Amino acid sequence: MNDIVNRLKNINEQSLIMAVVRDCMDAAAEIEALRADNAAKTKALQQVKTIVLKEEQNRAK
Amino acid sequence: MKAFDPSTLTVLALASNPALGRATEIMLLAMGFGKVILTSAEEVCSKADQCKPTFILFTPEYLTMPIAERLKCGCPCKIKIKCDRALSVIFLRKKSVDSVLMSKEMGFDGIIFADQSIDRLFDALKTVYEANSTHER
Repeated sequence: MNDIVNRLKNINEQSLIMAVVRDCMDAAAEIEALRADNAAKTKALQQVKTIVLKEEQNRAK
Repeated sequence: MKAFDPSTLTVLALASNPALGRATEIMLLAMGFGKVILTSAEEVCSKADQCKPTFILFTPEYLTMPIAERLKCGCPCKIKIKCDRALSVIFLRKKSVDSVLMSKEMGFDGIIFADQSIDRLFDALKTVYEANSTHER
């Protein structure tokens, strides 16, 4: 870790860490968007399952 | 006013994404900050109380966190996190009107942007420090 930090104090390598930070930020934002999408789809699927279950119960009656 | 000497300062960085947390930590150490502590939204209050940071840095995920979670950690409300002397700074990906306005409404002491060079980020943090250092820190 200290080696990395010392290397990054070199002016030529400072832009590298900023590029990594930006990539990590983009990746984190993408992960959050996918997580939200997954949560919305899981909820929708659960609602469909509930409807199907109710229909099956009604048919069985 | 105390001179800005990052080697004597502590930064508490809140990042829920581990890779972003580590990259931010390396960036801050490369800027010359003496101590960088990573934390999560759940632990920011207790960590801030323990390490008395100069800066509390929030990564952009903070703005997209559910409001209930943001309220739970209380930030950037300094009274709630028992760290009224810390400077709260939001670290945004790039300048966008929405995120800047939202950050200002939330009361951050400073806003810095990842689309700038390390030198400019350093200058931005120095400006936040000097602008708020009218009292003894």
